[in-house]
Amino acid sequence: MSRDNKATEETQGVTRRGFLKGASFAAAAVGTGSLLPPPQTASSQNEEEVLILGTEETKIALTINGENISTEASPSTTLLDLIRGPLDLTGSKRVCDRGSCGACTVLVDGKPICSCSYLALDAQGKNIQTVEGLMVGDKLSPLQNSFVSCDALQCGFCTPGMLMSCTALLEKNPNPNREEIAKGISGNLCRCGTYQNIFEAVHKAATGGGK
Amino acid sequence: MKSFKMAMPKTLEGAVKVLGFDFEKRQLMAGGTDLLGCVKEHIAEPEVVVNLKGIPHLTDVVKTETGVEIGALVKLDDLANNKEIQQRWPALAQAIAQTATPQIRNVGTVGGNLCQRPRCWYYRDENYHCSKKGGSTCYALEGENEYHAIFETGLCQIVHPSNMAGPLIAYDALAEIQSPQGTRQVRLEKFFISPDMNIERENILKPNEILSKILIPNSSANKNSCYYETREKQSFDWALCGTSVSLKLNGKMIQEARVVLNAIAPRPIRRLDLEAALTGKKVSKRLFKKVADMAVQGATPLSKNSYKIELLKVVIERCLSEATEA
Ligand SMILES: Cc1cc2nc3c(=O)[nH]c(=O)nc-3n(C[C@H](O)[C@H](O)[C@H](O)COP(=O)(O)OP(=O)(O)OC[C@H]3O[C@@H](n4cnc5c(N)ncnc54)[C@H](O)[C@@H]3O)c2cc1C
Ligand code: FES
Ligand code: FES
Repeated sequence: MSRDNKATEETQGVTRRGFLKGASFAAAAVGTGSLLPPPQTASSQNEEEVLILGTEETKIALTINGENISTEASPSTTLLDLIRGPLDLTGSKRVCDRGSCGACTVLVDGKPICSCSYLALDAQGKNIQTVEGLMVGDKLSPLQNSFVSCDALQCGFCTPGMLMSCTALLEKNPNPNREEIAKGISGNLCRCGTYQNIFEAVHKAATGGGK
Repeated sequence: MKSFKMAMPKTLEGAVKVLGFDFEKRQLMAGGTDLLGCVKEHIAEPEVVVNLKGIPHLTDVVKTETGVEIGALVKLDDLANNKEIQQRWPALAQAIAQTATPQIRNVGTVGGNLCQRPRCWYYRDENYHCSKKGGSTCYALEGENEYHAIFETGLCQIVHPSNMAGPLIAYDALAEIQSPQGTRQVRLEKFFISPDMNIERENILKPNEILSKILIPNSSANKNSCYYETREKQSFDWALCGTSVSLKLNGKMIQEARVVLNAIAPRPIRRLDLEAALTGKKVSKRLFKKVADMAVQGATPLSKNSYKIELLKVVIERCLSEATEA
């Protein structure tokens, strides 16, 4: 019963061995040789050659906090693994590693995402901002300043993620009301329950009080 | 996380070819927000992850003569903020706005949401070899089942986790499926399956098939439609009970109705009996209460979730009221 959905080789009209040969090793040859077309060439002339990367590392280029970086990552490396590991940007925190807390929040092309649940390879060519990029020279950003002056943290573990979500919010909506701030941080969990002070800090930064 | 290779097809045809005959070995990835969690929990261990992001046009929302076509890779946030969707198919925008968190909606996709794996904690724990994973027991039947199904229980007690599936079914949406033989369209209602059809999967897709787009017909656009759900937490949480309704009204008369329930069974369930009970009747609180009472008849709650019966009744009544007030 449970096997009902498994496609059989007969229905496909192609042998498993032939299939694997074309599909998987085609692209394993990247960088060293040419790509092989898939095996079912009878149906059309312009069959696609599918690139397959890994499991070893491949080169990727991305922009992090304004700096162009070229590095290497295996397909199963998350963006969080990459930034906290080889790139040594440890501001972004790993708490749940499942997209359920927001401590790992970074901005990809200006939008907050959970870097624990986003592959490094998918960040290829993208513009990444982490908490390390918020400072202007050696000065805290207005938002960071207002987090300090409003006591918007207790243990501080959620803070880097909170700052990134709030930075994206203020970018989009420079003067958010309370409800809009709540929405903006609805993907960031604060175990210490500092939300009230975070609302105040965002409000203060928005109204020019964080400078 | 166990390492995998990544296939980067540039066409749907290429993606289908590189998929394979076994769900275990090669798996599709859209945003990855659900798949990566499954790999980390060792309940998915693909050798090759087939990344759909290199395929052009899957991120398009296209207006056609007959309706709107939504590519499988359209991000949840983009769809929730689409003005056309908000105005013409409001229940869909409402359901997505209540899905997950801003971070997940910025990455998660329509196809990934509809094909996400269940959130049953026994299924998500590698130490439980449950029926869904090829074992012979559903641990929720006798175990911690407060978030599980109250309809179609027995074999496997999961609830389908997608909340946008409900409004899409209420709007008569079609799913377009790419297979090695070409494309075909099925009603989204028939896309989802019960455990008795295949306990290991939640939909009709075969290992080498891809959900490529969703089509919503113009005829289903309706401001008198609504999605309503309850959750324990305001954010981050899945629904305890959800309802989608679309009512075609002539003054106070209900001329046509769609009612779909979610988070109460292994698949979203369209309730033709409730639709019939609404059709041809005048909008009233009494009618809505009657329909809500009718909805829970035949429910088979588990040891710890009979609270969902009362909850579902309230959710249905509120959803119907909000749809008529829109
Ligand atoms: C904290 C949290 C809370 C959440 N709350 C909710 C909620 O309240 N309601 C809700 O509905 N969802 C909720 N979700 C789930 C979320 O919506 C999904 O993770 C997301 O939509 C998946 O999209 P994706 O593109 O990242 O999918 P992926 O992770 O890439 O894929 C998910 C699954 O679908 C398959 N797949 C992907 N695309 C296709 C396709 N085109 N054709 C066939 N198969 C495909 C993949 O193989 C995989 O098995 C929540 C998630 C998190 C982390
Ligand atoms: S560590 Fe990424 S969301 Fe919790
Ligand atoms: S300050 Fe401790 S988690 Fe937010």
